[in-house]
Amino acid sequence: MTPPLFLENYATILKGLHGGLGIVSLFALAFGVYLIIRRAKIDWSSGLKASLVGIWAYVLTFVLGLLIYPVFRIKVRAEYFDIKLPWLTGLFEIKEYVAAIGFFIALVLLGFYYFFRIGESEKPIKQSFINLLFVLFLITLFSACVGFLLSFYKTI
Amino acid sequence: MDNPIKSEQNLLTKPCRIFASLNFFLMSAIFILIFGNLVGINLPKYYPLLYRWSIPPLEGPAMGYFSALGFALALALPLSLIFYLSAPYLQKYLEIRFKTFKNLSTVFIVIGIFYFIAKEWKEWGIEKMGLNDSRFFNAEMVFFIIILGLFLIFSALLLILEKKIFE
Repeated sequence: MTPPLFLENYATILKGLHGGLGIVSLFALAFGVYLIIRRAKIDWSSGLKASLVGIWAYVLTFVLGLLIYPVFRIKVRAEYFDIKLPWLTGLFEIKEYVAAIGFFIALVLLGFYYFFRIGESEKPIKQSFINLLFVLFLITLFSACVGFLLSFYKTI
Repeated sequence: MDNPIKSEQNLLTKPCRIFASLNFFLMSAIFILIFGNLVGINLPKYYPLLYRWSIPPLEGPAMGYFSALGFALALALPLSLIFYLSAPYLQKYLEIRFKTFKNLSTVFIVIGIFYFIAKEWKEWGIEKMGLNDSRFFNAEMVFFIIILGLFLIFSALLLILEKKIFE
């Protein structure tokens, strides 16, 4: 009998957490972007709070995704997608690299939170913040759609 | 005054320095990720079935993603720190402005995303599916047009959003 892969015994729990936090991230980022756009001239604080939850949820989702990747690589990708459905492997590869760019964006957004009072900052900082937040939301939306599609075909 | 000069243009404020460094981190991390992928830098790969990391190729499925990500972060972080420390000196030769860095980082993100979409889909969605052929409007050409369209829509969305908030 072959020994289990890295974290294989916990893969189902970790995958559940990965999916759950991904949904939290998606909704929190959507809500944050919506509030900031609607209330940009009045108050940024509620939008910023929702966004912060979304950004941290994204970071955690990404880290959980890294932890379950070895099991996914063998049990799903190598044994099924690569052989029978290579276009799904392609979608997954796009998702992982786009998610990595999203991870860099999330780190920068956390830097914005830490170094600036965004609601009272200069216009370019606010502009850059909302740009990056919107891109992160799009990346999360794309990743969630691909994640659901992959799970529909095969999961760990 | 005929040519008003923004205060940030000659005076590098601390927020501008931090802002530029954060954007520099983002740009350099994306650049290293793309460059490493494009050139194919020989980084260690993880072999899940063998429970081993190795630079020389081994038998079985390999995972290069962890190294690519770690490599990009490990290089981008110190580079950004060096940039932050040297920014006051660089300002004498370069014009470090908020707007330049904001626009540059957006460009890097958009290019980064579309590079990986094009590269991975070409490999897995077209070549491995056996869809590439010699016709001009083949799958690759159609895919290129779709990517270009998406690129334009994505850029327009960002511009609309920015205008909507600050109009």
